[in-house]
Amino acid sequence: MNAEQYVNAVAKKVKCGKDRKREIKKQLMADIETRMEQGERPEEIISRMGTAEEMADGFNETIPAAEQKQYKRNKTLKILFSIIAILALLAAAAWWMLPKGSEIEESDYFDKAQVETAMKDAIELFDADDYDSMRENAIPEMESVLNAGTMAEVKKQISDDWGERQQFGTVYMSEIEQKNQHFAVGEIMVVYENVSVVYRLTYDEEMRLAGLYIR
Amino acid sequence: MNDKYEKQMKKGVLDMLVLKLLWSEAKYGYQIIQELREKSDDAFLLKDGTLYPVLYRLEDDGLVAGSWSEAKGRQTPRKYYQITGEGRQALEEIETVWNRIADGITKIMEE
Repeated sequence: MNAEQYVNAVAKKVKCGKDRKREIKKQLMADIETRMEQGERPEEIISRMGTAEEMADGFNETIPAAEQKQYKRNKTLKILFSIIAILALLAAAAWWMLPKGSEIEESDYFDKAQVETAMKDAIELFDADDYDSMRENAIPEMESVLNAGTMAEVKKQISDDWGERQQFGTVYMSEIEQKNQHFAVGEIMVVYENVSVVYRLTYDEEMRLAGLYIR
Repeated sequence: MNDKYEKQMKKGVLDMLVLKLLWSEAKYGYQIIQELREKSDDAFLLKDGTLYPVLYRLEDDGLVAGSWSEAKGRQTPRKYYQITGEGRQALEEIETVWNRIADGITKIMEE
């Protein structure tokens, strides 16, 4: 430990305000330097001064109770403010990460009619098992699931035989914002000969298919 | 055991001795430590951790006043302490108390 580290360690343990700490540091440094001018080595000086704890204890004994109380209060407040600041940051991060929905009619990124058309086109391709075309207009992450094998299993979980598509139901849409990214999410019920299927399709700002959920 | 009693006794008289050393002229911390050692024939070997709090307390009580010296050449600025009027008065009172206690102690210990 060099002289500066020693002096800082003492100041850190002294329970007083900034001004007094500054004064203590200045005085201790001056004292160490005076002794060094007289030929003593820093290690000898520090050893003679006692440990940083001993030195700080000596100071703490003489610091008025009111000042020590104020110091403790300030320290507690500092910790509290730090906790509040961390919580605020976490809350901001959580808010940023959480999906936030809004009306698609008010969107700056999506056109309701365009989204509806894209959804119906995607369902038609899905019904035609044309996954190559679906992949062309999907985000890269969708490529691994948009294939005949996976989709056949999905379809089978609902029914072995859906029958022909009869009609599209009403489309419900909203815009979702998450991590500064905007998505259009639409849900539509499609009536087939043997089953009714609800599709939830998600599009990114470039109108690429970013999610497909079927039930 | 002896160390404990020695520390307690010295602690009680430190304020008085520091004020006494500052009576004739202002001194800086290390100088006070050295003088205490020399004048007491090594009976008072103080660490800075013991002296500075005493000086700060005396300063807070207005019995001494500290002031930083100007840097002279390569010499480090030092904080000099000088006794105040209030400090002189306090020392006289402390000495009276000390003499009374010392007399009392001597009488008891000589029995």
